[in-house]
Amino acid sequence: MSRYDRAITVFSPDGHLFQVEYAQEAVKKGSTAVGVRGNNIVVLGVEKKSVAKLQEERTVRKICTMDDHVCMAFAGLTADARIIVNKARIECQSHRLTVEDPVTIEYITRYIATVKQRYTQSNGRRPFGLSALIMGFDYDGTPNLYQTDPSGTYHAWKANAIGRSAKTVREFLEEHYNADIAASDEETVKLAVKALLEVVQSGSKSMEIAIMKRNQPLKMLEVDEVEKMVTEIEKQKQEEAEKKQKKAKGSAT
Amino acid sequence: MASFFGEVLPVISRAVEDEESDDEFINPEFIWKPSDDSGSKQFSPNWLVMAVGAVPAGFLQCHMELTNSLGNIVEINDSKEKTIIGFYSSTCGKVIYCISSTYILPDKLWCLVQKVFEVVHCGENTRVCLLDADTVYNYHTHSIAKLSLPFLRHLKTSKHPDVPDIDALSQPNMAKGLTAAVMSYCQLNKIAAALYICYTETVLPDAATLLAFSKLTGEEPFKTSKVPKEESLSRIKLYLQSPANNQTLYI
Repeated sequence: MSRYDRAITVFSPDGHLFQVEYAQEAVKKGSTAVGVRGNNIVVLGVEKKSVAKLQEERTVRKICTMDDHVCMAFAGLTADARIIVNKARIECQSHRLTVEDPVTIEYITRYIATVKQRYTQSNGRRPFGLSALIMGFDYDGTPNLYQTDPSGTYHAWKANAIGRSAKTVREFLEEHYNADIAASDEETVKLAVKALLEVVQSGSKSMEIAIMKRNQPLKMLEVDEVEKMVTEIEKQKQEEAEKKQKKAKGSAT
Repeated sequence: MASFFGEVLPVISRAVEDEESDDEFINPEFIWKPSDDSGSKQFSPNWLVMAVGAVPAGFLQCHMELTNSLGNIVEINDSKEKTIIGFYSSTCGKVIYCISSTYILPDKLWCLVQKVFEVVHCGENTRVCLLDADTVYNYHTHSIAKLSLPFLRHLKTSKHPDVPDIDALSQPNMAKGLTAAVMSYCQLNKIAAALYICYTETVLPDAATLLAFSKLTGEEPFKTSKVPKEESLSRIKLYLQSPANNQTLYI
């Protein structure tokens, strides 16, 4: 394996590009980010990184806007994230100047994915150690959620997670996401919060939730709004647990 | 040297005198430094719990009452002291916790293990519990996708009773380092010992990995010494905010 894992441009005999796979492991070292697409809303939720005492919290952000109608959450190498965000922002403005239209979510996702793929096929470079969840509304009002990974692939999703414990969160989303939840803005946001609560230990203070509705700019939910939601969710969980207990006692007797 | 094809190849001559090796093995010097209260007596606990590595050490510090510091084993090197293992006792005094987050060179392990067991006397009824952690990428299995992280595996000495709830560490996976050396010592000296290795996505402490050993908290010796859940959560938060754990490379 060691003969084929040093150079990005070298395939191993069994077809692996080890540097790309290692870059995907770097993504797992970043904290969790989750995205959920509703019919009229898109939601991004991230696990907030603990900030050092003397560090400015506003400079440690996992959710960035790329244009008024597009934003991105990412997981992986911090420095790589900044480069990708800067490139994407320039491309969004360049597109507006050139064609006098804002980018579609698919367009900017394709741009980011192309940049990432180029870095997997060049000598002397390494892949970006970054996965991104890109969400927003196209000019026709369609909500979109896309995910890119270090290899440069991208796909559209109804709901997805990246970063640490992404598998656990994705399994939760697969179990709980349905058309009824997507139809309700509140339920879509709640689903994102519930999914994050599966892996975030210290509750609402360690989460950041961003929502975007049609024709509205990105809104970061306040800490007390998130706390209220978390309290409601925990109350619901308790009620469900009590119901189950009663049912179990009832069937036992 | 001239080759068959007429080219001259640079070859190092093997006709050299063997000089005496300067790398003679020097026995590392480990000394026991007791805290003021404990004195230099030997301890005879019911349980010896040893946590080796950042994740097991973080688990103990966040979940257990480590009230009394008994002392440290330090290594003397060029008249400098370096703490290798810290010793703590539980409130009841029946459990001794050893925490080591330093990497120890393989050639020093045996001396260190012997020092540990000079300080802690393991009688017939003493049980040893070892905690270690590794990344799942070092775990050899056919079906890694089916494993849910983190997961525990155990190894035990022949005197230790069976561990029913946790799978045994299967071949070709191996225990390494200080925990492996302690297990060998326990097996040779017929001490009941069990080693629990937690395989996680990352060996850097984070909230999920610090809960990795929570499966053991329902059993002795952790049952009696564990702190309430709210306190352990706030300790986890503080632990992760400490400068050693706050890294900005990944977001």
